[in-house]
Amino acid sequence: MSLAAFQSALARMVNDVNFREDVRTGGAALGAFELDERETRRLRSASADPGLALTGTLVRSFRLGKVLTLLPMTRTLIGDARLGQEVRCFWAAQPPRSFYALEEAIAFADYLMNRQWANPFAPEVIGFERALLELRRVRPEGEPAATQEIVFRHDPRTVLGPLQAGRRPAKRVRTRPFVVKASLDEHGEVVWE
Amino acid sequence: MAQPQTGRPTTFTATPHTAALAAVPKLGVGIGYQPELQRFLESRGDEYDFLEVVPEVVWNDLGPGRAARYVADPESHAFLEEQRRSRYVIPHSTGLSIGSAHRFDREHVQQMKRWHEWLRFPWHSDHLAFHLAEQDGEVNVNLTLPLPLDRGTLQLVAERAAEVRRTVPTPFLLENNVSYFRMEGQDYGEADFLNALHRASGCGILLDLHNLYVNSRNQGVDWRGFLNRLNMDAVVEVHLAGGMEMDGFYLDAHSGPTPEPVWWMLEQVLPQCQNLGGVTFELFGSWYQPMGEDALRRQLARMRKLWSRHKPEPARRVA
Repeated sequence: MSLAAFQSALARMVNDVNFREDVRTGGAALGAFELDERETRRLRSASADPGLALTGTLVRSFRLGKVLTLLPMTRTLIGDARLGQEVRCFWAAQPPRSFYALEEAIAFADYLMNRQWANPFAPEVIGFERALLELRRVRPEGEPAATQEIVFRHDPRTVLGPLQAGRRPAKRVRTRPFVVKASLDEHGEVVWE
Repeated sequence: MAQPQTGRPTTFTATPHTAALAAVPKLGVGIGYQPELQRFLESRGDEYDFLEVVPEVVWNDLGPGRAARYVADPESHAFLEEQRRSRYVIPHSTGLSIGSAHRFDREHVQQMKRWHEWLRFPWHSDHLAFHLAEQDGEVNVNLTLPLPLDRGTLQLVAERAAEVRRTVPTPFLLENNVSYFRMEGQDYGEADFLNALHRASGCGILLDLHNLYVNSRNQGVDWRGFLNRLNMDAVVEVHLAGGMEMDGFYLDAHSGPTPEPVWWMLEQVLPQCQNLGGVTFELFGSWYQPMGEDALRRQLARMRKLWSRHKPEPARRVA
């Protein structure tokens, strides 16, 4: 169906700067879509419209807001420069799939978990925030949240304490394995053990 | 081909569809629900007549095919339950994506039917747009994207709007869209498309004057021509909002008071909309504090003053 292909291509032009640039410069990217002549002309014209670039910026701002709000300790730990680099890679690989902030933040945390980190605290902090989000994930009524297990290689208090106050932890923290379990009580509050 | 949208107001012959829209109650002044506005809404209940709510804000959608797909936020649900006892609560959905060509979300329509059984709203609405498309699976762009206003699109949307009307037994409206880029070579101008959609499907029109203003600021859309061509008998609700500048564009940010040109538009439109049920102000919750309670009260008072000048005494819901 041509309209479906047109919408796929337009959505991709909003989400993917490189794709839009390929269309704008007359590249072959649109060849993958079954478009009629008018649709092709429209997309090429829209690709050069500054308003389409703005639309992409608005979508990315919306996505970024979700991540900044729901992964605050990860942001503090890895810094805005690395975070910006990572969200750009994430967005290039994964277009937005959900309207909801929690789903987006969990998907981004999953992506971060599979990255290489020189920062020794990164895997455990990302894992910790992801676990909290997983507990908050909306479920059908009566479906319990599974207990989350986070493996720390450092004392969680010395890592998470400063991050909760908006500071990075000290560089030297004693290495020692900790396993922290988080679950929800009957009132929906997080219980740690 | 696209008609030039200028000149004198177009006259339209009444149809059975417009006769059906004439039956909607004339409610008056509405405001869009946001959780951040809850205290204001509770304490200033005499300053608005109905509450509009974006359902996607008060439920979580677990995705197509799930047995219990829509999970209500308990706090918001309780608030709406309280509100509906004294006034109409009217859904203004963003989730249907009625123009998506790859699929039609009938589960969403069924959910609106369940909501109608709960809230008994006198109309409901969505956007003349799409945000769901295929891209290695389904993407949700998170923003309402414009549809190409062609004959094929008209047929697609009209069939779906008619199905919504058959499923949810109350008038269904579609809102003129905001867009920051142009769509070349369309078969219809937006006003003509909305008129044709009304004729073909019976759906009403939600006239968002701020969207029209945004499109006129950014794309040079002739808003006078748009209003002259639009079938005002199909307009059941009007939206107002405020916006902000960014990167040389004016955004439909729902970020503050309605700008003066939009008030002027409202003054032109109100006497022409015989079937108007209400005028609604939209404000994103995060902008409530910057705007302030007093400014919000002034916004609603000005809306009421204009409504009173042109329309009958608001109809109140009896619990």
